[in-house]
Amino acid sequence: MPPTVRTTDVSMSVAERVAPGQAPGEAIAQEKRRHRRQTALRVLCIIPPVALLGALVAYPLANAIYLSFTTSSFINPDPDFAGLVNYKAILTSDTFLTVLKNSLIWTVAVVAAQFVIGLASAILLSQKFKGRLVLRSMVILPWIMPGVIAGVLWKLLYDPYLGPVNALAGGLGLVDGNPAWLGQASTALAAVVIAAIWKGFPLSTIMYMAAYQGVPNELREAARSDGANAWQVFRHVTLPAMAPTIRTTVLLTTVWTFNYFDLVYVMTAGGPGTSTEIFPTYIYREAFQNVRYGVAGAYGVISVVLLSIFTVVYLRQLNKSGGLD
Amino acid sequence: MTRFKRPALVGAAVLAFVSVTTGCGDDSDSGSDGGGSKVITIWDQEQSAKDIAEGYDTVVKQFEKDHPGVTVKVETFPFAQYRDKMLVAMKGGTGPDVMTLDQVWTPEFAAAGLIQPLDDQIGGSDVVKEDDFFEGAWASNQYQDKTWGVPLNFDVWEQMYYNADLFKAAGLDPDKPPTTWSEWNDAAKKLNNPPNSFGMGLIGCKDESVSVMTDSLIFSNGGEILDDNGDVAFDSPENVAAYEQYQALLDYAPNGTAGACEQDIVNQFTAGKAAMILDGSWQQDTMKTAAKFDWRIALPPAPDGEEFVGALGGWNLAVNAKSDNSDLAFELIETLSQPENQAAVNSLIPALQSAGEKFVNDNRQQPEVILEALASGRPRPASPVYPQLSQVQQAAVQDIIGGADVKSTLSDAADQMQEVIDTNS
Repeated sequence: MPPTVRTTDVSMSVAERVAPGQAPGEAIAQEKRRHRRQTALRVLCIIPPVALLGALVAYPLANAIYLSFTTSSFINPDPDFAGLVNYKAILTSDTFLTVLKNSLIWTVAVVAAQFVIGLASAILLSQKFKGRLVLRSMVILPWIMPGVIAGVLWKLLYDPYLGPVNALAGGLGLVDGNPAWLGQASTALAAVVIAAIWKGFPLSTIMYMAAYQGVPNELREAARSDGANAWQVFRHVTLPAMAPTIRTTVLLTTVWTFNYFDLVYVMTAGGPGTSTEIFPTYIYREAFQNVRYGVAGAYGVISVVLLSIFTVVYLRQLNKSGGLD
Repeated sequence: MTRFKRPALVGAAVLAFVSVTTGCGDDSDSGSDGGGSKVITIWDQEQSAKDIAEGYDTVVKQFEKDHPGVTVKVETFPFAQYRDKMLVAMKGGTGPDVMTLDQVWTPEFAAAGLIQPLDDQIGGSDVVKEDDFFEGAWASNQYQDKTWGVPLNFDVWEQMYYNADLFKAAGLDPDKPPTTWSEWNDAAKKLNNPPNSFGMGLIGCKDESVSVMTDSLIFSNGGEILDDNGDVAFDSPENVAAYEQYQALLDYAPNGTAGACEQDIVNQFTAGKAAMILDGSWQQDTMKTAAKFDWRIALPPAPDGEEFVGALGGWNLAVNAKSDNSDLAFELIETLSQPENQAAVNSLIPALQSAGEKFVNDNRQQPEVILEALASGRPRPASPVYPQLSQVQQAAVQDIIGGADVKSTLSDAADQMQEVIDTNS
């Protein structure tokens, strides 16, 4: 829901603002001056954010798009215009398919799990019990921890011989030996997905808690008095009332997860092999380790296009079913 | 309206102030200051034992005394960030006058025109003479018949560090460590006691150390990466055999080799978890403080009937092509090439033969093993695209660790390497 701007001056009619003893003509002129000043002020206030957006978003985006049509390397750093060469090479390469597949699995798994866990924890934390306040403040810890620290923490947790994950799983008889979760191509992606779920679910929890508590109790009671059981109340009253928040949160977490870099990079740097290469880590590798800005730019453009398609489709779907508000 | 006026003015003033002061950021300062004193900057990486800054202080003082009006600025960075920072600075035109470059980066920087050839200055120098340096070190500065740097330090991958206590506990004679690959596998098997201790700690993570360590296996078996014509020879039968040996040793190493970097295997060794590791002489400083058991080094095992051949490495001093003070920069290099100064700024083996041998004999345990490894070593390919070739090699090793067939993995890697060379020539 876009914030509405209220300016108290304009909302009053001219007639109401005529001061006692003032001619109506004067009042109109005064009104026009006020209006111009306000427009000038609005323009002035808009310039800094637009300039900032231009410098920080529009320019790098345009530059990346330009670079994606060039080739350059460490040895030949001046970009040579090369048309669609980079795109052709990328779209026919196996690495691109791997990166795409990993990114999709990563995003879908993390967002879905964060939704379920976020919703469940939101409902739990909305019940009244002793120590609820303490638990509420603790639940936010993973989210406020810097991604790099979280990555290092999870590396320790996953250590095959010293880490508690294997100690627990081995003790419960769930695993044999001491598998290196981050060191095997078959398990590395799942391992970083779990770390990312832990890292980001508090955001969903907080959003859903606010939404859950915003559902008027009268609605629930009305449903209950009509004979609905707890699950039906949840499904037909609570969830639809929370729908706007859910839709917004899912959109945000999808975009943020798709672009999340630090956690994966610290834990595996995209390895072993290419099993945890997602768009952000691969772009970093191409740009800053291989010094191939053209290829990195092309990957970046592709990733922006993918996210944009998703967002457009998502929002269109929402508008059909009632919009974000 | 008036109640918006003041905050708007204040906001505009703050914005103006901020944009003016951020405009007055760092000015690139790699040249002279125009009149007054000259400043030359030198970049190096942080080294393990000494505080390198102290070592440089003496050198800097001597240089500034000999060259009044000149100030020398020394900046050091941890190895992990050094190359990235260097690339960004050089591309942005704010690089130092003198820099240390890894041997394998020297041809690359030369091909990119970022450093200048030093043949003239070396020809006219009384201090820098080719014969005074280790041969392998001097050779690493040659590219397209020009000399692009002066060696600073020099070392070889690798020696085998082994835990004599674990050897004794497994019934092996610590005075007779394995010398052939078959003995190696037998010893590793006997020492393998998962999950408490393992026979080997192996590097496997995706960085240069896995390339250079497996290069020593390749070279010892008579293989190479690029042949004398510069063509890719990475999938030769000798290389296949070498990587199969690597794959065999994986059975005796802890899980997670694909993520194990040099620091990880050092930790495994010093914790008594890995009985044998392959690492360089520079780790001796760490071993002295952290390994609380009888640790020894030996020349790594070679294939049955062959001799061990290590992979050479080290760092060179180069001069920025865009330096405003190239003569002064070279004079700084001359100062650093004097024996006592080489010893002062290095915790790696100085590249001057006299200083290097003295250093090894004074500071290292079992110096004869190290000197023997140095003498037998071969360099990695001197190619301007070496870092990309190495990346292909690293990816191949990751697949091999995952259990892929060695022959087909190396064959694919060789094709990719050839593609890298073709697209960049």
